[in-house]
Amino acid sequence: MIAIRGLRKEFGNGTKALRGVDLTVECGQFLVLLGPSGAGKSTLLRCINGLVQPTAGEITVDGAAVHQLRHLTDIRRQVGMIFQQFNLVKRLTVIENVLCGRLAHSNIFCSCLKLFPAADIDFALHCLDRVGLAEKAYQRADQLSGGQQQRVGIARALAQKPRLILADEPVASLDPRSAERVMGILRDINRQDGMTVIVSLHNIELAGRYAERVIGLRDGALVLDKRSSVLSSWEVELVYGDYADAADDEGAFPQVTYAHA
Amino acid sequence: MRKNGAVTLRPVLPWFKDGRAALRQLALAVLLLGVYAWSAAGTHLSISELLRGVPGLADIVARMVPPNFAILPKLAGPTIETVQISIWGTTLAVLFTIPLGLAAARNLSPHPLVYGLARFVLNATRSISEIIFALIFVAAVGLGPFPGVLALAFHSVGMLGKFLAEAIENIDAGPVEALVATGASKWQVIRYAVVPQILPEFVTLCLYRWELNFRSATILGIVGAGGIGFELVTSMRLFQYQDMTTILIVILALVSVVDYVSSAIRAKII
Ligand SMILES: Nc1ncnc2c1ncn2[C@@H]1O[C@H](COP(=O)(O)OP(=O)(O)OP(=O)(O)O)[C@@H](O)[C@H]1O
Ligand SMILES: [Mg+2]
Repeated sequence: MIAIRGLRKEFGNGTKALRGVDLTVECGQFLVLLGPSGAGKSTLLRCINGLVQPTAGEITVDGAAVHQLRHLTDIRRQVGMIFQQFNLVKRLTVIENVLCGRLAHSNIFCSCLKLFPAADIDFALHCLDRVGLAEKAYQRADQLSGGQQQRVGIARALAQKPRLILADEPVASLDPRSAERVMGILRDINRQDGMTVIVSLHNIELAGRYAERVIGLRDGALVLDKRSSVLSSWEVELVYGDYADAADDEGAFPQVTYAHA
Repeated sequence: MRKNGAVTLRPVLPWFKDGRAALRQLALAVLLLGVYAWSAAGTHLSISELLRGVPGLADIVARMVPPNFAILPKLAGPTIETVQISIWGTTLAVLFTIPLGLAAARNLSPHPLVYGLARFVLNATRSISEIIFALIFVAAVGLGPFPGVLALAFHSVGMLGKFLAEAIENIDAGPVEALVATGASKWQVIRYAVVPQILPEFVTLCLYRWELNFRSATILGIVGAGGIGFELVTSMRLFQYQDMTTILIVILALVSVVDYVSSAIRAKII
């Protein structure tokens, strides 16, 4: 589904966010991305749908190269993204936010008049129903709680009928119960629709309960790739441990590479 | 602290960091005073002159009352024209502003050259006053309210466009990024992520501009660009001060009405 080869990203200010990442993700996987703050998790996810232009390396999604402009819109259509800050348009209603997921499939002129095919509106309501918010459809997005807003974010991604969902710390600003609910919905989508889901998390315990496969990123390099949700303490140490020592010293931490099955 | 009701005062921060900072501030204060004195000399600022003018002023005021309400029917036409000038002047300005404001917003502008050009046009139109524009358009299209409309439109674009561009630059980038990530096209992103974020602010701004434009429309007539200003200068030139009072009262009343309508619309929208 996703193949990443030698991915590097250096920002304009010289920050090396990714230092050569190789990763293959198969269809239908539930993958959790772990890593300390600044490890490059967001950058990696953003490279996959072309929000960030990599400095070097190649990413293909279903065989289509992200860096080729003619593929980019197609790829973005098929990839739903969920954000830590939800990124809803606060002054629009919930249903309008969900319909934003259909924009790339809609006629530009009609959509600018807020006209959508009836089937799209029905589907948007169905997506809201899946996240348990059908009755909030006509409220303004900023009237919802954080947990509800994140579920609208998921509904917007679902409205795209994507093949892949990227979730960048979707539960980092939620209370534990809302977090559980959001993770549960993501798992349902993964199991019932066979959707590939990549979630970055800060919470090892949550990762342990939901992940099929765990990837550890540290200082822009993959240091862990495990096809099980149970991490041993040294593996946690590998990703998060003694961060201060390795931070300024390139290559001071073990560069573990795993063969992909 | 408190002894016999006396309070000791002490600055939170020292007034001067050190002797050099104190000297610098003193020099600045002297410079400022110098500029004021120089400008006073240049403009013949003088209290005695003002006092000498008082009798003349009192004389004019005395001749201004009572207002001559007999001319009211004659004022109806120019008054309505003033309102109409302000409505179309503002509306045209808003229409010109939308493309210019989009081009002058760094985060939406299609190209740095377009951005630079749009900023230049906005700065230029803002720095030329509506009266100068009115003189130009009167020369170009002749006397009447239409050059007044154009003058207001061209001058207003500068301010409206600058504020629109700034509002767009200050929006929350998160929703924009989220919509880009869905594969939506640029115009769709603008429609769904940018417009909702700036709309209330922009409408408020346009209403405020309308209030300003109405005030400007009352003086455009001085240079022959329509509206009640023409009656005002005519009555002054003919020394009909009582007519002038009536015109001023009408202007005052209308400005209040326009401000009221504008804030009522604003309250409805936000
Ligand atoms: N637009 C940018 N310009 C410059 N540097 C950036 C930019 N975005 C990210 N970085 C830098 O790249 C590095 C990786 O950032 P990234 O956001 O990918 O980390 P992260 O793992 O998502 O961290 P967090 O858990 O805090 O979200 C950081 O050092 C960050 O400062
Ligand atoms: Mg991040």
